[in-house]
Amino acid sequence: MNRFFPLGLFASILIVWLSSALFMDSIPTCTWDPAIQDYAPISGAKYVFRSEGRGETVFGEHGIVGGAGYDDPTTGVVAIWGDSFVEAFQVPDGHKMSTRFNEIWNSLNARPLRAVSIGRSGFSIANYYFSIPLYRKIIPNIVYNVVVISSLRDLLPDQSDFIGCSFISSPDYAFIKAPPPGKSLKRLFLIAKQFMNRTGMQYLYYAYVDIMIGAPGKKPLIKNLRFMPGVRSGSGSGEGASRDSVIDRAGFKFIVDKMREVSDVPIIFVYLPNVPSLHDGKIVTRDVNSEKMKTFADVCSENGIIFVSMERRFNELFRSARKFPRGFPNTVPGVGHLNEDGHRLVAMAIADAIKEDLYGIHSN
Amino acid sequence: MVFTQIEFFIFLAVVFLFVATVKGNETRKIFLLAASWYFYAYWDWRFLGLLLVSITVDYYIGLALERTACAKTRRALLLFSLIFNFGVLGFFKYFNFFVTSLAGMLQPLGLNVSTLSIILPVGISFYTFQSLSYTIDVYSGKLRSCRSFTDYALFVSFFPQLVAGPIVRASDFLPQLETYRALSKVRMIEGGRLLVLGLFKKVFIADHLARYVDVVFSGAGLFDMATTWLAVLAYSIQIFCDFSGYSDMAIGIAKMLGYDFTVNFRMPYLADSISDFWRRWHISLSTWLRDYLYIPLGGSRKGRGRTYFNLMVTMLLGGLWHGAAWTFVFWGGLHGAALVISKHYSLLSGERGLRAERSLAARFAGWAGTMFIVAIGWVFFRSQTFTDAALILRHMFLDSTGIAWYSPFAIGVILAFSAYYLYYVFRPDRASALLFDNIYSPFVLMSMLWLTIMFYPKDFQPFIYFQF
Repeated sequence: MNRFFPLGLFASILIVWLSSALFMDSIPTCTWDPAIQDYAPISGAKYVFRSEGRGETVFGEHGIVGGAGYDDPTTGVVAIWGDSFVEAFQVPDGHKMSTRFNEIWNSLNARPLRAVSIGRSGFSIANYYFSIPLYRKIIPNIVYNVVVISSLRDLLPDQSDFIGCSFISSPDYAFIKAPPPGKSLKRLFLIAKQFMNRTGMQYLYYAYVDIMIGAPGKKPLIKNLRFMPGVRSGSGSGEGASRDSVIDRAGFKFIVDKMREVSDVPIIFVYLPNVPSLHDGKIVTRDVNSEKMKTFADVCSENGIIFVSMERRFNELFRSARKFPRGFPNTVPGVGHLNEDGHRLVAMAIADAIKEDLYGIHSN
Repeated sequence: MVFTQIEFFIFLAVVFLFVATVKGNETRKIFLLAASWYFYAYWDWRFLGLLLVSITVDYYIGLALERTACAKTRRALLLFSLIFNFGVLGFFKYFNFFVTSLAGMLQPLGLNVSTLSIILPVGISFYTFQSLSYTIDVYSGKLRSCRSFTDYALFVSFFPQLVAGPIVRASDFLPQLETYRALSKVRMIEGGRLLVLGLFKKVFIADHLARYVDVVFSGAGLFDMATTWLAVLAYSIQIFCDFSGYSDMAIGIAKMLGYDFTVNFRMPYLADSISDFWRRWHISLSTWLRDYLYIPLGGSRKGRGRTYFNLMVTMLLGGLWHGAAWTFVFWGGLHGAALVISKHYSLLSGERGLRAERSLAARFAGWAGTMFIVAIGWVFFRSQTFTDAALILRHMFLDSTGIAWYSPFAIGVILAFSAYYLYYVFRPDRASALLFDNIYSPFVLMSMLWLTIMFYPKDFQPFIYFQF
């Protein structure tokens, strides 16, 4: 063996550490928060994201982002709820929709408002139903609840891959909160994850997840191994296909009623259609779910809830600047989470909706 | 099973364990043959039968060729081998292509031939050419026929090169099977280096570049000029790393097992003429085409016009070998035309291939021109249709409007490659140090291995040359 092998091996570990530090995502570290009856990112934790976009997120208490100053009684709080699109690890804190909203609103001579983001990957409408009353106790001066709907799936019942809470349709429509998972080994895993984050060894965690647990929507590697001779087949769907699920007007009415039940302040739904997008080498500008979302919008309107669709604004961004509101240079344009342009547009839309609600000012 | 799957490394470990413990040459060869057939059957066991039939036909033709003195009979045997091998290849690979292409002509004649649902057996282009080289060499007397069915079957089926080359010559490989080759630490290390290098090129570079290239080429015409150029350059590196990476792994694994394959790529993007490019790119294929197509057609022995014709035919068929599509044929034709022009120029200027006499400026101009032609060729090679290729070319040269998407990874790889190649020009000994015992190679190779593992793509990217 080459006599320089031990030296080379040691030096190559430095490359691994450097690569982790520059190119790997932090490992999510959550702890049980009794105030919200759920796991939340540790207060003060900095989460670095590199696999999609390039962002840094600093969490405040109870998993709130952009929360400094929200307890100022003279300032109303706009709570922006959502899933990974509001969690927004892909963009720096300074470009998230809550921060952008604050910049826009502060430039207006209007009632002082401050936006905060409360988002978690895997959340859906059921999660917001259970979380809104709990956060109301933490942030008493919430004046608007803005719920960001990243896709129609967030409103569909009987989905299997949302976390913590479920929206079911049988026997009747209902929101169910799952009991929290066992906490016995959680503390140990949390310490291990924090250690790996600090020492640049996240790759070990992600390798473990890929091999033993499986990334979201994928089987773990250990269950995908095949040693038997096979038969060539056509290409599969690759990732797990989403469950077929339907919702009718009654289901939308249920959602709206439940949200009004827990929110004593105005609710704004902001819908993020997956347009414009790149599909099979073509630009798609028409939302395939527009009919369904129109029904939801009508139900919202009939029940005093503000509904904002981003379809026009997103398509306008592409028409005017050939840019997509989703996607990053290190992923694919038009695919994935909102980029900085997308967050800016959503912030503008929220500001316009609130302006119209407060002052009757219509925006184009 | 592909070289980048976990299952393959488990399979490889079992193979090495057996080879290390078994001392007899015959037992070892039978085991390697069984392992190679399992490797092939893993993909689709139904086509193992086709491989066995091909092996059996050419093995017995080889024996018959040597036993027969009658010229007419020998010609008939060779013809049978050619028809059988090309027939099988033609049916599985080109039937639907020709039906689709000729449909317009056949319909007015009242002939409605529909396409069939045909699965292309993996590696058929490679093992067919390999078998043909054997029967042709036996026919021409350059090689004695192989007396051992096991040896011949192993020559065709040997798993490191079975599905994507390099195309191994019987004259190179069969003698190596005659003697027992003990595993050696030196060969294990040398082969291991190539394996790691190949894995890095394929998994870390080619597969990640593919994500970018695939989107830009599928959306031909949607992206701006800089993005389109970036994608074309990225594809140039992707296809090199994908294919040379596989070759490196194949050569490395064979070396670890005690067998030597010839180099298949030799810094092709340093070529300063198109003929030099083809002496560096996919060497096993280019030499096969030279020895079994170009030279039998007459090569350069029958005058200038015939030489140019032979070059064009060779390159057009070489293009067709790569895939059943007119874009591949056009790519071959483009290279053929470039070779003809290059040949004509060198004949006119009386250079006779003495590159050492060319000035640095002339060599740089030659390099730049060659790389330009190669890059344009890759546009046709990669595009699904001529329309897509035309859109890509339009956005490379004429139309700067479109979506801007500058992948940091693609930019980084192109810059790193350029820096390495520049370093190689001035210090070839230092730049090749990776493959030898020195202070750098363990660090670089281990880093490559870690990076490959850390950033292993979540979704499967097939080897580009698997489709051939």
